[in-house]
Amino acid sequence: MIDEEKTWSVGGFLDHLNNILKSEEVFVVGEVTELKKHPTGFYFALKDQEGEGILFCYLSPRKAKMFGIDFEDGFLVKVGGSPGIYKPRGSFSFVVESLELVGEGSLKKTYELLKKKLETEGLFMRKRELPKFINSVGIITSKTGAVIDDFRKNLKQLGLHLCLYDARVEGREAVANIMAGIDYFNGFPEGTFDVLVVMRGGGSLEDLQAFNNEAVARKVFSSRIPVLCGIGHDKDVPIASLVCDKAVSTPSIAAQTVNASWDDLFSGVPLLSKKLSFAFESALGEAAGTLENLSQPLLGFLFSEIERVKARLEYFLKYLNAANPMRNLKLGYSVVFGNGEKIIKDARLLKKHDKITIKLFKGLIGGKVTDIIDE
Amino acid sequence: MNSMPTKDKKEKKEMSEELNKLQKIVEWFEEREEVDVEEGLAKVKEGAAIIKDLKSRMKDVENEFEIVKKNLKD
Repeated sequence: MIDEEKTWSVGGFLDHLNNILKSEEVFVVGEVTELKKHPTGFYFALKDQEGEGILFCYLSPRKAKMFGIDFEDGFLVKVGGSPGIYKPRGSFSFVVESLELVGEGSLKKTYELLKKKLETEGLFMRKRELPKFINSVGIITSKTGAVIDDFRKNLKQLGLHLCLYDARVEGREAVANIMAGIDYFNGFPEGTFDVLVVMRGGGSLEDLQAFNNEAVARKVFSSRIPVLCGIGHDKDVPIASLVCDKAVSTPSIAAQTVNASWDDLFSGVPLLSKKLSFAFESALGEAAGTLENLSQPLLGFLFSEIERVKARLEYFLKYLNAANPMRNLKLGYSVVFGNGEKIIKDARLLKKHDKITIKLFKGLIGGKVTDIIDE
Repeated sequence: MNSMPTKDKKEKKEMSEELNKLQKIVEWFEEREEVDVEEGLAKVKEGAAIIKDLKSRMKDVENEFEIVKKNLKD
């Protein structure tokens, strides 16, 4: 009996091997060496810092751009992907699907290089004013954890519309998530969102890699909606915070910044209200003063007229008093009536035996003329 | 699609405009040496209406919160 041996073509066998090799995603940490940046991709090898292992890697240009990491020989990186055999050459290589820097040294160097590069390009200069009366906020952070809770707790209840794009802020997915979040909110019509708030709690350079990433930094810069970053950090300010329009270091300060956009209303209205009240009171006071000033001469004229009339009245009263016949009667004078009750002023108007009446101050006397004495 | 903000720029613009109007009324008083009392009274009435309206917007209104998208792999 002849064993039926399975025989392969070269290509078929390589395909078979590749199927086996690509069945699971693996992660490898190593130091970058022999890096060649070519239009068709990045070619480099990873080696252990101690020992003899070496792994050839391939990173596509599309992935390289998406990772936004500018690495060099000597950098310690963690790559994720799958191994395979490149059929035309029969060479074994590792196809990189994810890449993260590992180790403070690599991270710090990348940070400094990127900072210098973007600074030179002027990406740190443009700072747009956050709008007044922020009403709708697009938030990019993790839905779990203290960050979103702190942010919400410190926001005033202003009837704000808060939309959270749940993004990983650490690890392999962080860069893609953050960028997708920025794209998501910018995809709505202008004016739908007033501000984007990108937040993360503090951490080491390794923890904050996604925020020191070139692709993320450029995405933040390209956002049509102003970006407020609330990313905690120790010494090195995250690149995203340097690029954004307004940077604070905690979610609570980010919330206070949103609240502050309403300051014109909360402090302005009471202040203007007081000013208006004071201004009107002053105006009324001034009007009253003006009225008093205008009335002074008029009042003076009126008072002098009154005095003049009063003096005239007093004169007339005195005159009338002097002319009053009763006053003379009181003094002892009397009035004689005769000839039909006429006042007799001349003795020649009477004859002997004419009846006369004499009016005294008190009472009347009747009598007869007994004699006429002509003077 | 998730519900999107309903309050638009118009309301914010109105608020800014109303604050400006109020500021101008105050300045009107401050800039005049003599104030026509009747005109001043009309200005105060206008200012009081604006203040009333703006104060109504200072009342607590609960914020709306929604998670608009889960992470890419969910």
